[in-house]
Amino acid sequence: MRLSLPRQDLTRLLTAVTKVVETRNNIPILGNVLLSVEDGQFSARATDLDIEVATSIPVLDATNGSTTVNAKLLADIAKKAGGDVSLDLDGDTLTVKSGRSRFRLATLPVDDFPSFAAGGFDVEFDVDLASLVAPTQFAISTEETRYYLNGVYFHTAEGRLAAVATDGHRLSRHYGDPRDHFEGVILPRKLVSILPKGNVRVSLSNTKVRIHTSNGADGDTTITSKLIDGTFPDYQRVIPTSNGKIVLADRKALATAVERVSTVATERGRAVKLEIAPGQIALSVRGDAEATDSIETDYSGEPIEIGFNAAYLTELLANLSGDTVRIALNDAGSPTIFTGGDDDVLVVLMPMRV
Amino acid sequence: MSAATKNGGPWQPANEAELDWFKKTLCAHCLDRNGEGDWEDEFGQDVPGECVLHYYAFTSTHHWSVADGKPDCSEFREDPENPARCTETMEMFE
Repeated sequence: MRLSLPRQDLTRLLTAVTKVVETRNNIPILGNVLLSVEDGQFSARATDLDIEVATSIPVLDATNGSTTVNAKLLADIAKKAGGDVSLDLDGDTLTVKSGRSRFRLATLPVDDFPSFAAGGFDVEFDVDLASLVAPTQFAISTEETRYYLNGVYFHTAEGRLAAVATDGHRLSRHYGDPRDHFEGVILPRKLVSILPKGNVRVSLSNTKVRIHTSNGADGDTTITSKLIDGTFPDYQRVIPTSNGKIVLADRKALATAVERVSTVATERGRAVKLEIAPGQIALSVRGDAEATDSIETDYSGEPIEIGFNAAYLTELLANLSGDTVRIALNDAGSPTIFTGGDDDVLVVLMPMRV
Repeated sequence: MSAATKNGGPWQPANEAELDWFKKTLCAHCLDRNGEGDWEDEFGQDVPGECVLHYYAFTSTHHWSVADGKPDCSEFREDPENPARCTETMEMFE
């Protein structure tokens, strides 16, 4: 294998695939990237056995061949290279040259690199998946014991694409374009974090998902991932349908006030109490010290008191769009609905016992 | 939960499974979860770092006790990037 390419091309190629390489690997081959040249296409492939990322770009005057080399090392060399980079495989050593720099890297056999047979797919369609899942990402659970919540539930609801994530305390749902029904799947958190921006071709089966994007002359990228094998809870039943107390407030003013009063919150006491009365929302936190603040609202109903985890509230408000946040409440012990400038995004937050 | 006898009393895992559960629910959110960091043993193998208290889990755990009916650690320092599950927020799916 022999080829020469601009430093930026090699960096872009490796950046795309090395996202999936774990920094700590007990299996050395999983720390490697599979490089190959075939018919004028230079491709790189990396995997952590759950997700595989493959990308390719066209190259000129290249000699066919393939090898595997430490992904992080090669990416670091590419980032620091001065100009064009040439890769030359001789036996089990890959020589990387750029200007007067020269690196000799050990390789591992291509046959040892795991193959990620994807099998067939049942459904295929185009969608801007990164935009669809983005407003839900903050609500993905990090609890390993609730593995079935460690991702985004991608499915159809009310004839539209829907992405839902929840950790059992908060839930975020984003509706997308109309789409025929398909069996819902749970996209793992790691996959969600590396989704390419813009429209992609999504292929789904019961166990795997494939995301394909074509960047024209910049090459193609294909991500194939296992799905989370679990049952997503029936989330529809926890979205209240009759929360009649509607409060409208300035989203940024509320977020700033929550952040201000949480200064005195402690690790063990993170509750912010909202006392909602006609014309005003009073916020208070009682930790080692006490803090109060208030913002204006056009609410004109019965006064309500409700407590939320300040961190949840801050994160939620940061993930909504628009100037105004609409809060639909029932009582102090019931789930509350938050919506912002995008009607397709809805967040449910459970209250704290205060 | 084996030794979750009374609030303020000591807590010790009854077996590896209980210790594993404790690591996942509490230690996973602690800044000290990787102890002194990863290290390389005498055979050149990478060994992931671990909180030193785990080594004494079944012998002497002065730092572990029962609080609000659940195991707790006096050395717990919450990772702000990955906070522990809020115990005061009501559960959605119960």
